[in-house]
Amino acid sequence: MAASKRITRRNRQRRRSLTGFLFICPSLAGMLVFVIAPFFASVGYSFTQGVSRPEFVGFRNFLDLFGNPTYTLAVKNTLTFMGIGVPLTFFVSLALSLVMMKGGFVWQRWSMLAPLVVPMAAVVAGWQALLGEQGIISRLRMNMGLSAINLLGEKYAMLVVILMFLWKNLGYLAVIFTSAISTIPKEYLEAFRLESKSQVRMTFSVILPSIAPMAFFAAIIAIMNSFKIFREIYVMYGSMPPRNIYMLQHFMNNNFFKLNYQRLATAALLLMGALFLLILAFLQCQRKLTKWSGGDIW
Amino acid sequence: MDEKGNIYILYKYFLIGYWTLDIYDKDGNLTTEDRRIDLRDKTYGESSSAKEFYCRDGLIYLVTGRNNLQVETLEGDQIPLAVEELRCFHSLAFDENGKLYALSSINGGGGTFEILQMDPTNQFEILFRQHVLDSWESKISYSRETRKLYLQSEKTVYSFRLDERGSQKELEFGKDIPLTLGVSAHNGLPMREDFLADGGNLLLAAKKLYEVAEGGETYLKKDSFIHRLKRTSGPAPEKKIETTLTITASYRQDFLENAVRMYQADHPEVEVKWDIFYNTRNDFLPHTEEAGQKMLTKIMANDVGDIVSVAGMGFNYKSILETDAFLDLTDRIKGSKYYDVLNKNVLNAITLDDKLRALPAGTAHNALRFTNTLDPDLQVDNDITWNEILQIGLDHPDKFLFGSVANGRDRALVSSLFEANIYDMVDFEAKTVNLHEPWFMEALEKLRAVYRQGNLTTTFNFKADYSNRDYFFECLTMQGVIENYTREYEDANGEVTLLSMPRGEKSSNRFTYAFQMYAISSNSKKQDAAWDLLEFLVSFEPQMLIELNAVPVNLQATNTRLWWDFETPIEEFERQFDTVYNDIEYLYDTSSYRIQAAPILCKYVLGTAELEEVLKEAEYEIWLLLNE
Repeated sequence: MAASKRITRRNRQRRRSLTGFLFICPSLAGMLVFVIAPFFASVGYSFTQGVSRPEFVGFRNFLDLFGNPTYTLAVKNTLTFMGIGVPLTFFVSLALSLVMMKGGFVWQRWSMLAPLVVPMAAVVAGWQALLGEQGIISRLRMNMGLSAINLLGEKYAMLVVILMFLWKNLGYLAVIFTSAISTIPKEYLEAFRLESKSQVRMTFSVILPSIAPMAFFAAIIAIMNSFKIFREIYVMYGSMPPRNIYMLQHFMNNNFFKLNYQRLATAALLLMGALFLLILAFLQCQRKLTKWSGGDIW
Repeated sequence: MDEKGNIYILYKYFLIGYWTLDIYDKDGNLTTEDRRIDLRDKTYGESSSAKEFYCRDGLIYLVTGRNNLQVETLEGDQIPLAVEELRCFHSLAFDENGKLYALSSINGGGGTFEILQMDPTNQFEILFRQHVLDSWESKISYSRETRKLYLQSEKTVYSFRLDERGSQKELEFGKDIPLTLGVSAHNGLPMREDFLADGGNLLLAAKKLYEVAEGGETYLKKDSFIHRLKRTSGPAPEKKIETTLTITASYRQDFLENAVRMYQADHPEVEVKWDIFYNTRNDFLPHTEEAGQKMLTKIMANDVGDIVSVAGMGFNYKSILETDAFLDLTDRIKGSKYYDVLNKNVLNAITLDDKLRALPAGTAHNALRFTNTLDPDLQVDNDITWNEILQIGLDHPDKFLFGSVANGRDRALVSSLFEANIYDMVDFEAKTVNLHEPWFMEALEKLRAVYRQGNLTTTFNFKADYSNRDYFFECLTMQGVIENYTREYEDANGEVTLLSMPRGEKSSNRFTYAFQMYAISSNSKKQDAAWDLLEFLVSFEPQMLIELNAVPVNLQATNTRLWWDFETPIEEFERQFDTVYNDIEYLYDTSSYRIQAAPILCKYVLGTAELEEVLKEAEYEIWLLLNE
């Protein structure tokens, strides 16, 4: 009798699993056709050369890529931008969220999200009107008897791009941090205040460990968004930007126009591998931190 | 002939580029003789050819070579027309009451044809509108006997019954009246001249050009004939399609479409399908980048037709022709029956890594043309370098070095200077670049000095500056050569010299632009059929099409067109023309370098940046292009 009930329950579970599987089938099929299959096709491409009849060339594309000075330049610039832009945006938005955690700041919080909804062309036009050689800052300088300055030139290009990234992503990350902070039980904070009145100590001892999972998530989002800055650079500078902001996407985009799909696929594969390792390292850090703090986020 | 029976005879003097008019009355007496009239297109002044010409009530109705409709008095005063939209006019007809009908197409309207009727206040009313007629070479004619308006297109003739009120509702669209055009009568060479509905007859005038071998020599003969169109009984027979070829192109090209129609006249078994992104060149031009991306994506995805148009703006065709996306045509071209008459300089210029993967229908070449106002002692010849010619400019501030040029040509001059020297500054094998060569810097400094001195160029003003030109920097296209040369000849009393652009300082590299270049997809399953069509495009007949604005790659066609349009041979000019075209060494495979470097170098010439700054910037961008 008990055995028969178990079988019935198992059958029901199987049927339920099958129903669930059938529900996800359409999206799974889409993923297979439009994401997974092209991904493996790209992986295949990176080991071949030729357009109409690709020939297997082993790791030659990878070796060519590592020996290519423009690729090296693009990697260096992309890493520089990410190395400065991502931590800067992360910590500034975290700091702002901590400042705003006591409530209020509603208007400020929402206004920080504005850059996300402003069309890119308008954003770029605004920055050009502000920083260009005929822009507001340059004109102010000229009115003061100083020479004109092109803040969009090579000298300041990386700084401008980092500031643009900060301006665009600050609000989004701040919202993530603020909502994460708002989920911390008030008892934790009140209990800590009984021991210490130091806001700094509370931040490092209570708030940061409590929001660690969301902080990791925000960091990953910031890294992903850092690749999207290409659109703004492209609109401002075209396919040949100044030397210090020539990014990996420029390299890949320009190779697309040369029909060098193999090189493009190889560069994309390496980029994806690097991102995968980075995110894996983040998740490992998160797991260790969570274990250390006694939580269980998995 | 006008409504009173007066006969108007118009002569064009090809050598000196103007028209004269003789008028006879109805009794055959000459009333006006040799009246010189200016039929130049008033909007696009450079064209002096007339497509159609009528006289009514003392007015001249002219469809210009650029498809403008101009109405003028015999004294040359222009009558303003109320044309609301920008239209291309193709053909005119008058009814017995003197009412004007015009066949037009809307610019950028994707091949929308209309028949318009002009009212006494010169306003146009649309009588009929149809999207995409089967030919751009259509003509209309009115028959008083049948009181019908006939529209002759490539495949048939449509008739329209005109009501007295002329309203659109009363028109009858005669799509069920198929007529044979007798295509075989002119042997696949439909150089139609005119169409006339006369009484019950529909007459088509055409000319035919063919080779004649006599006494061991081959020469060309031109025959004109009139063909009476016959009404077919029942529907036209269905064609038996054996092969379907697909052609992919960024926009509709008149030359290609007409050439394909000529090909199909002899090969009815071949069907051609079009994979076109934009209907007209005007539609395409604002979207060159999108069209380029679309084309590249299609090439990558093997989603292109059997034949692909690979020249044009939007992408760098050198990169594409370096890949195996397109078939290597080297052996096919060398084995072609037309190989002997093709311009080998052009073929060599587009050969990359010993492979020729595309066939250009024609090319355009930058050149210098100058009149006798230039002092012969200056010794400007085909071997002059950029530094030498710029020195002449510096030493002779009274001479405009590059004459009157259109706005924006300053960059084109910098571009030409850069290109002439590119192979001595850029190492394409080692992928290095050095623009800091002393002679290049000297040339740039001289260019800037001449620009500042004010005698580099002057803005083009047709009426004011026309006779003040010493040099003229131009891109040689077939029509441009013919029209500019004839007009220049008139202005300079017959002394015009055509020279190649100045050469590089260390070498004599010359470049040419490819027009209408076609390639066969490596993945095409009908490569032989595609080659047959491609080979036809460079044969004599299609190369004679006026829509091929470029200089034909078929030398026989080039010479014939010069001979044809000038009517009498101008041996000296032909020799100069040959010299310029024998100078070609490279196709503009360096276009991306030129496009990238010229605007940067131009900043120095225009005085908005320092030399060192622009050289470094240009070097960086060229380095990127070389290594990416």
